[in-house]
Amino acid sequence: MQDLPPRSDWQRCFLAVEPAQLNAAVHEIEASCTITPRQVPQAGLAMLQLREPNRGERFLLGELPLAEAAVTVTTADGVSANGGARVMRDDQSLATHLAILDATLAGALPLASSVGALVRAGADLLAEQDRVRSGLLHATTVDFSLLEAEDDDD
Amino acid sequence: MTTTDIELPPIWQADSQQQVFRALLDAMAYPGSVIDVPHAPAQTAVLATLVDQATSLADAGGLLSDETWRFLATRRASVDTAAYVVVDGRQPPGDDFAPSRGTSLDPETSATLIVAVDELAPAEAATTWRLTGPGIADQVDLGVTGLDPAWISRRNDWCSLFPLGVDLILTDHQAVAALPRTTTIVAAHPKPGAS
Repeated sequence: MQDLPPRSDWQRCFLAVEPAQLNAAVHEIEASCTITPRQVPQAGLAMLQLREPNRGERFLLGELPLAEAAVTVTTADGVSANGGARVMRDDQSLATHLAILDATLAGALPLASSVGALVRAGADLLAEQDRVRSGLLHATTVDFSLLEAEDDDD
Repeated sequence: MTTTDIELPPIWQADSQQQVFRALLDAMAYPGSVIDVPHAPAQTAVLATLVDQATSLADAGGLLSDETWRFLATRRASVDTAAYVVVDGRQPPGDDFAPSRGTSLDPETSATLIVAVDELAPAEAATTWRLTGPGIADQVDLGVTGLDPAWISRRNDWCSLFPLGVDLILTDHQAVAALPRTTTIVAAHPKPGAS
């Protein structure tokens, strides 16, 4: 648990791994634990509200797909943990599954080690993705000082 | 994702809420008629059907559990501003209890009171109310136990300046009855032997 990214990053890590891996982990948890909803799962469009920096007034930037869920996962021994997820996709089922994984890991329930492995795998994939993107960004860097030297030549 | 979604309690499922909404439409169209809802308790079923993030709710009687509030995911509001107010009909309203009656231009902004009572249309009602008005052919007698008469008295005051007013939905464990603001309500003579 100690080498895991902060909980706020878990969802991003889960979404980086193959959906089939998430499915398998959720199946495993569902087989051994009781899942109860803590709220009615929602999926649909949400309005993204921002504050403009000049006068600090709020405005609505536009719509985005959003799904959210909150669950309690209870083991056969009666140990329970709460988890939740909010994801920018119109997929209620995905939000529910992320909430189940979140609860399992946050509550250090019996299957937390395999869920933690998913988080680490996702974090590694995201790090690699960041490395590739940084390389691409670096390759597009323009050295404007060369333009200055060209002007001097003219 | 292919796994089965977790099962919500029936009262929070859309199918059930559609049935409750149909029951509420009938109850509002025919004031005083007592209509069963598919899943008890009726009060929670009504709230699950009518209340969401776009509305506001006040729990004047402290009747709702934390879990119910979480599932409703609605805005908490004070009695005077809430679109829906849950009250305990067994207790009389306080002197300062003043739900929104709307405005002349926007009477639809008034409150709907969801009143918990012991039993609707019991064999021996403590109080019987005689109803007349739209949706009632001649008159209807509605027997209720567990409704303090002060609620009807105050409701009549709130509805005295039509179209301003409030609408009442009475709930017992399994059924609902509606008293829209257009209904005239007077006390009928109690049945002989009724307490």
